Order: sequence, then C-alpha cells, then structure tokens
Amino acid sequence: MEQKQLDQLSTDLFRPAAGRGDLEQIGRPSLSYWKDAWLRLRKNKGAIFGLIVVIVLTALAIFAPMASKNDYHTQNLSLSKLPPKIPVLEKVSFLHVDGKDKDGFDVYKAKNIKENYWFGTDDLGRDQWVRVWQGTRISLLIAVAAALIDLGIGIIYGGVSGFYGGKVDNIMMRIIEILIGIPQLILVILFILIFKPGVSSIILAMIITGWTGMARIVRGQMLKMKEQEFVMASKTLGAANSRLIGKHLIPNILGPIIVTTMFTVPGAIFTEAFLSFIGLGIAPPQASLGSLVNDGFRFLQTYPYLLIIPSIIISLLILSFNLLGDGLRDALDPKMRK
Amino acid sequence: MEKVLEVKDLHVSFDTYGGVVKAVRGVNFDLKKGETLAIVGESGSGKSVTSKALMRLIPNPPGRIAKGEILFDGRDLAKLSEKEMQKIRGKDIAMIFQDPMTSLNPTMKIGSQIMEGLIKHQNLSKSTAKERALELLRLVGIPQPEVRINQYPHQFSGGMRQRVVVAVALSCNPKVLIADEPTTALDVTIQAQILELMKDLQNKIDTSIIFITHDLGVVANVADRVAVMYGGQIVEMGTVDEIFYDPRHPYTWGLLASMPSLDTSVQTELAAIPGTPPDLMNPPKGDAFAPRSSYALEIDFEHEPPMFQISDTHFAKTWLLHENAPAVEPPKAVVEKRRTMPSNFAKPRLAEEVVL
Amino acid sequence: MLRYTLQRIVYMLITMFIIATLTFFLMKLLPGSPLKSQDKLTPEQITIINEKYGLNDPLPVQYVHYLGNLAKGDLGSSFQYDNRPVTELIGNRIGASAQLGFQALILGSIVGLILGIIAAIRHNTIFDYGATVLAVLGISIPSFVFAGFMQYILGVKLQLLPVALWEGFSYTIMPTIALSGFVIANISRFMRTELLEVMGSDYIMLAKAKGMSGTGIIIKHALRNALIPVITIIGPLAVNIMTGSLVIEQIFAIPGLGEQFVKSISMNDYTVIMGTTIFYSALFIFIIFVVDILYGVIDPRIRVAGGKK
Ligand SMILES: Nc1ncnc2c1ncn2[C@@H]1O[C@H](COP(=O)(O)OP(=O)(O)OP(=O)(O)O)[C@@H](O)[C@H]1O
Ligand code: SF4
Ligand SMILES: [Mg+2]
Repeated sequence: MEQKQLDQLSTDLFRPAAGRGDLEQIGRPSLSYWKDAWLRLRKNKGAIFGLIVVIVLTALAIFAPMASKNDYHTQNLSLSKLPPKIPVLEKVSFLHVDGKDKDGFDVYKAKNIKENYWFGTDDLGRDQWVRVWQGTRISLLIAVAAALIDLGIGIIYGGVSGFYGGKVDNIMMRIIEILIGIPQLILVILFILIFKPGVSSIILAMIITGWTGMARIVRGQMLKMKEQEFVMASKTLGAANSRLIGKHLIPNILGPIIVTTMFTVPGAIFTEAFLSFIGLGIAPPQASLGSLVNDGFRFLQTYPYLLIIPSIIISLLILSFNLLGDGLRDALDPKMRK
Repeated sequence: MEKVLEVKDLHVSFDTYGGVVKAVRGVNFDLKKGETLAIVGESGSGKSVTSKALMRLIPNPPGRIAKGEILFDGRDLAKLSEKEMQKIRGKDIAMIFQDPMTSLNPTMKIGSQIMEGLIKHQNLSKSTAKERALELLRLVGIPQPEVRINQYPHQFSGGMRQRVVVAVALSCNPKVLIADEPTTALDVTIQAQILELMKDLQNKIDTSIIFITHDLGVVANVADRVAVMYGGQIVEMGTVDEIFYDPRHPYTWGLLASMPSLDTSVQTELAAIPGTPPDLMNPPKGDAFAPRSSYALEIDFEHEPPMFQISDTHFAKTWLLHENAPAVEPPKAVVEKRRTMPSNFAKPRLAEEVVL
Repeated sequence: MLRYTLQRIVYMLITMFIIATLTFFLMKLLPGSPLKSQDKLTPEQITIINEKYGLNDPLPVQYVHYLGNLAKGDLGSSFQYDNRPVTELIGNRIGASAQLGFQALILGSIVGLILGIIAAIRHNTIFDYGATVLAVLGISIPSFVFAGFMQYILGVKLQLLPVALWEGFSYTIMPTIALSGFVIANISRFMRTELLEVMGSDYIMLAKAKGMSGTGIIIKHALRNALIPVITIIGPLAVNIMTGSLVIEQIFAIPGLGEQFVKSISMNDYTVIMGTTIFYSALFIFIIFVVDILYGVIDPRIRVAGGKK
C-alpha cells in the first residue's frame, strides 16, 4: 500500500479506543489440577491401554474364579493335561485353542469330554482358567497390599522425618541409607526362610525394604511444603489458604506418591514370581502367577500352554502397570503445567 | 559506515503440537562495523530467537527460519548449508550465553574448550593453539593461566567462567559478537567487570556487538544504538539518545517510565508493563501491543501499523506517528527527560512499503 | 577423591557388618538346630561340627566366633555336600555364573547404549519410538518369561539352540540374552534421556556456536557427559543380573552359584544358604562400591579436589 492509501484511512479510526484493550486479560481458563491431569493422561495411548488392561485383568481375577463352577484346587486325574479349548476362537488355527494337543490329536473327543476348558487343565486335572485367575488374584493381592503398606509406612516415616527436620531427620535418613545398602533380595530370602512361605510372609518380606523409597519421597515433598508454608502464611490469610492447599500442596505431594505406588505394584508382582522360582513362593495348592509360570516350565516341551498363558498374563500385567505409571508421571507432574 | 550484517524481514517459527509459534515476525536491522547494537524487550519478545537465528542455531525441528535474509559478507546466511555455516560460526560470528555456570562443558578442561575453535578455524597445531589459549586467558584477565588452562569449569567462579566464555568467543577475532544477556546471571560488580572487558576488547579487535539485555542501565552504558522488541517484532529503533530522550513508541515509554534514572549504572530491570505478552500462535489482529496500550486507537485493533521514520536513524512502528493521530501525552517520566533531537525530520515519514 | 573413597569404604564395611549380623541372628531364629534334620550325618560328625563351630556355646560367644571366622574368609561347611567348606562350593560354581553375568552385562550395556544413542539422535522419529517401545517391553517382561519363550521357540520349535545345560558357547546364548533384556531396556532408556538433556544444554549450544560439527559435538562433548550418569545405574543393573541369574540358571540348568543356592534352600542346607547369602551381599556391595569409585574417576567434578557433587 502506498502512502496515498495510508492517507485515505478514515480519521474515525484514529479515535482513542479507551477500554477496548483487555488489560485485565483473560488468562487461560484454569482447569482444576485433576481435570487437567486427566486430560493429559487421556491423550497418552500407552497409559490408557495400561489402564484398560489393568481394569480388565483385575475384574477377571476377582470374578472369573467365582463365576466358574470349578475351583482352583480340586484334582481330577482323569481330566489332566487337557489342551485349551475356546468355543469360537478354536477356528483361528494359529492360536491353538482347539482342544487338540501338539500332535493334532483331539483329546476332548477321545476322552469324550463335553466341557470346554478355556486354558486347558494342568497335570493334576485342575481347571487352568480358574487357576490362572486365582493366581492373578493372589499376585495382585500381594502386590497391592505390599504397595499400600509401603505407602502407609513411607508416609508416616517420611512425614515425621520431614516435619521435624534437623537431628531427627538426620538420624532417620541415615537409617534409611543403611537399609538401602542391604540388597533387598537377601533380606527377603532370609525373612521367608524363617517365617515360611505364605501370602502374609511374602508381603511382609517385601515391605521390610520396600517402604524406604516412599519415605524418601514423602520427606522430600514435606520439606518443600514447609518452605512454601511461610510464603503462604505471609501472602494469604483465611479462606484463601484452604484453596492454596487444595490447589498446590495436595497435588504436589499426591502426584509423586501415586506415581511411586504405581511403580511399586509391578515390582512386587515380579518379586513374588521370583520367589516362586527359588522355591520360596506360594505353597500348593494355592497358586500365584509366578508359581504357575514356574510349574509351567516342567511342561515346556509337552504342554507349552501351561507355561505360555500365565507368562503372557504376568507380562501384560507388569507392562500395563508400567505404562500407566509412566503416563501418570507425565500427567501429574505439576512442572509440566504451563 | 560499513555494514557488516543486514537482516531483512526475518521470520522464525516453531512448529509445536499446539500450532505454529511465530516467535519472530518480520525483523529488519543492520549492524555497522565496530558498533554495539542493544536489543531490549520483555521476556518472550523474541530476542534470543532472533540472535540464534543469525547463527542458524535454532533447533530444527521444531524451529525454522520461515522467511527473510541474513546478509553477511555478501552471503545470505539463511540459505547456507550446515557445513558452510559451521565455517562461519565461531570464526566470523561468535556468541556468549547468559549463564556461565552452564555454558561450559563440565568434563572438558578449560584449555581444550578454548583451543577447539582455534584448531578448527585457524588450523593451528595443538601447541600453537595452546599458546594462543594462554594469551587469551591473560587477555580476559584470568590470573595464572598456565595453571588454569588445565582446570575444569567447576574450579572457576561464575565471573571467571564468563571470562572464559568471552575468551572462547573472541578466540578467532570474530567480526560479529552476539552476547545474549551475558551479565544477567552475575552479581553487580562482576557485571561491570565483564562489560568493561567486552568494551575493551571491542576496541582492540574492532568487533561489532549485538547486546541483548533486560537492563536499561547497561544499555545506556554500552550501546550505540538500541532496538526495542515486542511480540517478535522490532517496534522502535534508534541511537541511544533517540531512544532514551525522544522515544516515540508507547511500549518504549512503558519501559523507560519504569526506569529510575537514565545515567545510573545500578541494575534497573524492566518493570512489568500490565498485561501479558501476545499469543504468538495467534497474533492479534492489528497491533500486537494494542490490548495492553492505554494509548490504543480504533485503528490499532484493525490494522498493523507501518514503520515510521523520525530521523535517519530513528524508526518507530506506531499509528501515533500518523498525521491523523491525536497528539498524546507520554508518561511524565518520559516527558521530563525529553529533548529535541536536532536531526529529526520535520514530520515523521513512512519508512517502508506497507501492506494493510 | 581420597576422602570420597574412604567414605565409601566405611559405608561398605558398615553395611557388610550389618548384613553379617542380621544373617547370623536370623539363622539362629530358625526353629530347632539345623543339624537335627540332617540325618545323613553320623553322631561323630555332629560332634565335630558342634565343636568346630562351637554350636554349644552361648550365643554371644558364637557370634564373636562367627565374625572372626568371617574375617578369615571361613564361611563354614555344608551339611549336605559331604561337609565340604562353603567357600569351596562357591568356588566350584562361581565360574559359570560369572561368565553368564559378564556376558549379559556387556551385551546389555553395548546394545542398550547403541539403542539409547540412536533414539536420542533420531529424536521423535520411528527409531526413537521403536527404541522406546523396546525399552518398555524390556523393563516389563520378566527375564524368566523371556527365557521361556526363547526356549520354546528357538529351542523346542526351531531347534536352533540347545534348550538347556552348559556345554559350550552356544549354550550360553539364550541365558545371556534373557538376562540382558532388562539391562538393555534400562540403559537405553536412561541413555536416551541423558543424551537428550545434554544435547539441549547450554554448553552444547556453545560448542555449536564455536562451529563444531554435529558428529564432533556428539563424540567430544555429548557422549562423555551423558555416559557419566549412566555409569551409576550399572551397579544396580549388575546386582539385578546376579539376582536374575538365580532364576535363569534354574531354567537353563546351568551349574552356577544361583542354581546351587536355590538347591540349598530346598534342602535346608543352612550353612550354604548363610554363606552364599553373605557372599552375594559382599559381591553386591562391592560392585556398587566399584561403580561409585569409577564414577568418581570419570567425573572431574568429583575426581578433582574442590569439586562438589
Ligand atoms: N523451541 C521452541 N519451541 C517453541 N517455542 C519457542 C521455542 N523457543 C522459543 N520459543 C518461543 O519464542 C518466543 C521468543 O522466545 P525468546 O527466547 O526469543 O525470548 P527472549 O526475548 O529471549 O526472552 P528472555 O528475555 O526471557 O530471554 C517465546 O514466546 C517462546 O515461547
Ligand atoms: S500502533 Fe496503536 S496500539 Fe500499537 S503502539 Fe502505537 S498506538 Fe499503541
Ligand atoms: Mg532470551
């Protein structure tokens, strides 16, 4: 545009536009912390996959054993080592869930068995479908219980340490440092040797060293919070306080706690399985995912489904918790919030 | 005076998930031999992006030079290949960053970090490069260079580190030195020393300096000319006197009004101007400053203002300089300091072709 | 550096002492005398053992005695393996375990580093996503599951590799891969994060501003700085490999220390359990110590006096 055109601009345009500017600019609509976190989590495909799988597997672990007319411990040798047979999926050849053994021999027909064992049966004729979900239930129970107790101890210990600070904090942290130096495995093994394998002794063994991580995190957050308190007290009074606590402190402290707990669960599932392998796991006839995988190895060459199915479930479970944990960490990190 | 660098209509954009961030939107300026050009403006106004673009150091992806020319030595840097650019970086154009605590490699000896560029650009042997590195350390005022050359950055204080960074930057006698807030992270006395050092060295090797800062006090001390950036554009540019004593843009007024005294050397951070910087993803229609300007006219919400020229060296991008605009009274602090500039034109002229 | 090393050594000794004490008293807590269940032993042998280890003495005396023996490197004798010294049993088995462990650690580190570097350099490309997916899988799939699938597919189905035992290099391949999966995943993930962070740092920008070339910057500036923190996870990963080998040696019937340990657990061979536990702990702690020192040597901020961590 030339000078000429500039001159043709209406003089009206050159009136002061008082009040048109939004000096009181509208900030970005302030979503609540949790809503914001949820929005971010929802965008993370891996985390949503993890969340769904965790929910589905948990539901199966709770309801599948109840819904079946078989139970996990009744043996029936006449039904032993039946390959898996799943009604509709049996048509899909590569899944090998057609009731035929590895030589293509239809065991169900031969033995004239009408019932379908979806995951087959084990060497003692127990319904593997029920055993797998019962095992998942035990594994989840152990892992979630260990994670929750870790959380409880960690919050108390870390809270006290961080709250009092100074000498108390110093001593309490030294104790943790020494505990961390002791290999977890050693403690767990010694502990179970003494108290004999079982759900509660396994949980306890995992807690002995497990709580330290949570305690450190809670302490760190506690120290940070104490710093902020001064700022808060001087800046805001009365009603605004509760809002600040809700908006800043709780998310700051809850975020890392939730994420740590999320990562404790898969770790505990793994440790439980590991104990089964070294002969310190759940005792039969009870089953956990670890003990099922361990037992499965005996039939690797002959009845691989006894190994493969629980292996897939345990991997899927650990994977899902890890994905969910990763997603939550990204979603809950207040630093990422612009 | 001879122009060493000429930037024409520079646009830099970042492709982010949320959309394209237009961080620099049409910047024009030139740099003359031996002069110091200061760039000031609030946080996020695009100062660092502009300076990194000159060095072609914008991370790509997400960033890219969307448009424009950077003329240096008869060549357009915006179009050079990475390989050719590497020959220019550190040799012809050098850079100093804001934080000396993080701008040196923590696991490499100070000496090697200085020698690196010398070996690359001047084909020096290791021993001559070392000689030169010692000389440079002495030049920037580091005591016991023979000892210091074999030390690691963590053994240096912040001020010492910044001296080392200056030594690195000056090692190949660059024609242009870009200093992006080189003293912000240092305490006041060290700041003064580093500034003194830079001025000193500038005289010795006749380098042109682009000096980015938040500190108007520093600008008054070191700069010959000043460019004021807002929302990815230069909104006013002129000699130090023109900017300090005859500012024309309301944003510059805001900056100056918040400054206690012009000839003070104490740190004078730019006081906040009410409102938030413009959204560079969707720049507002009209002038980007309009929503925050108490002088805004109706037209500011419709059309972007063109660049007006007040003197040969003084430019401002505001509708207030249009002949139809009402006369307005700048803030008191600005009026009190105002002087008449003898070289001003009788009437502001249009500096460029404008597209409405 | 000297202070740093001494401090580490003191920590190491304290931890070792606590573990030894803990092991001793926990073992004493076990119901009944460990010898009672060992019907293989003749009464003379029992007397000899009781005397040699002073099992009739009061607990504190036994404890001091035990610590003394430990300091001399005497871990006691097995009740099951013909009364042979535990140290000898460990010595016989450590070879296979060490080979397996080293192979897994080296394979895991190399592959992990390469994957991590590629992922970081090709940030946000298909390589990066691939490496990220691999890392999540590697961290999530337990080594025994991985081992099982390999055994089934490579061993049983395709018969490419021997299913189990320890009779030559080809026997080591599957267990090595199974053990290294977790290491690969962790190192690549860590390396990627570190390298990305380093590449975004100011000193890399300064190196670029000096006119250094892209590959030169990665090799001379970025890798070294990114590798230093990676070293810190090598210790825990080595411990993880040793732990994992308890299971992997079982699965592949490898005559290593882990397999013997698991067997001694099932046979209630308490001295072997105790001795191996102490040995493992010492090894774990020693590895962490070595890695810490290595870290100090490589990072000038620690090596050169006056540096702060
Ligand atoms: N890598 C990037 N991706 C997206 N946007 C970016 C990136 N780098 C810079 N920007 C945007 O460019 C704009 C200008 O940034 P720049 O760093 O140049 O500001 P500045 O003027 O140097 O501010 P300061 O005074 O704080 O250093 C900012 O709005 C910023 O959000
Ligand atoms: S053009 Fe209008 S809105 Fe922009 S600075 Fe000038 S008067 Fe203010
Ligand atoms: Mg900047």
